[in-house]
Amino acid sequence: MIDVHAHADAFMAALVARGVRVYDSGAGNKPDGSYETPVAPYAVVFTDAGIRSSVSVADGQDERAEFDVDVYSVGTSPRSARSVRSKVLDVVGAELAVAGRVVRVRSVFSDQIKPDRDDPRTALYEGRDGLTVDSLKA
Amino acid sequence: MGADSRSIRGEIARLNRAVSQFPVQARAVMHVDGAALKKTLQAEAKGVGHAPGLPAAITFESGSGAELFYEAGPVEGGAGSLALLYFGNSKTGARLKDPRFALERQAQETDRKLLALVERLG
Repeated sequence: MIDVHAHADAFMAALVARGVRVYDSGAGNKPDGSYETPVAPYAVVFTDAGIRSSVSVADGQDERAEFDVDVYSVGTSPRSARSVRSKVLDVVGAELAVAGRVVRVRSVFSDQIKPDRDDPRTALYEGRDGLTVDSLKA
Repeated sequence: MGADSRSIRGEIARLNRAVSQFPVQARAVMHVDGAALKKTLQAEAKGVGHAPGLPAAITFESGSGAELFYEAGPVEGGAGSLALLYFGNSKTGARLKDPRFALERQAQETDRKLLALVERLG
């Protein structure tokens, strides 16, 4: 059984370790489940339940999972948002710490950084990255 | 000398067969994988209460003109305008998963099939 929470937690922990303020599934939601008024710059992580498949390995079959993750890098200026993104993209190619699994991150797409037009008063800028977390049995 | 020229003629014939068969079989790969991408996007678009018409609006095309291609997504106009559901922001995220994830996954599969085809024909 592949633990969805363990993968999401490991991903967010990797961002925190790189000095990113991380929110889970909405600005202000801290990874520990508590809430705070969002303070830019930060990254907001949206995860899915993962796609599972069976793959052949030397000693039989193994379960593989791929989790697609949207990460919004948010800052009070384009430069600030880019700085967050730079730290976020530092996890690409890195190995995440999930017990019993080999877990790596790859980049799928990267959108431009744009002003948040929904609420011009906030004067925030944000850019989305699509990342996939690949997980195989260790 | 005679054996060598027979061998060369045989090789040329084999290459000619490969050259003529590759476009046909590659076109079939693009059609099958384009349809698979469409199915994935339709499955991901299901269950959006206020956009029940979106899955049916997702179509695909494939071909092998100047280059091999397939593409899939909502048609423009009508329910296709609900493609807005793919866009999101840091406050809410996207309502639907970005189609580039599915495309990336399908493209990897297509790459594997085309490489296998080249190896088989070559």
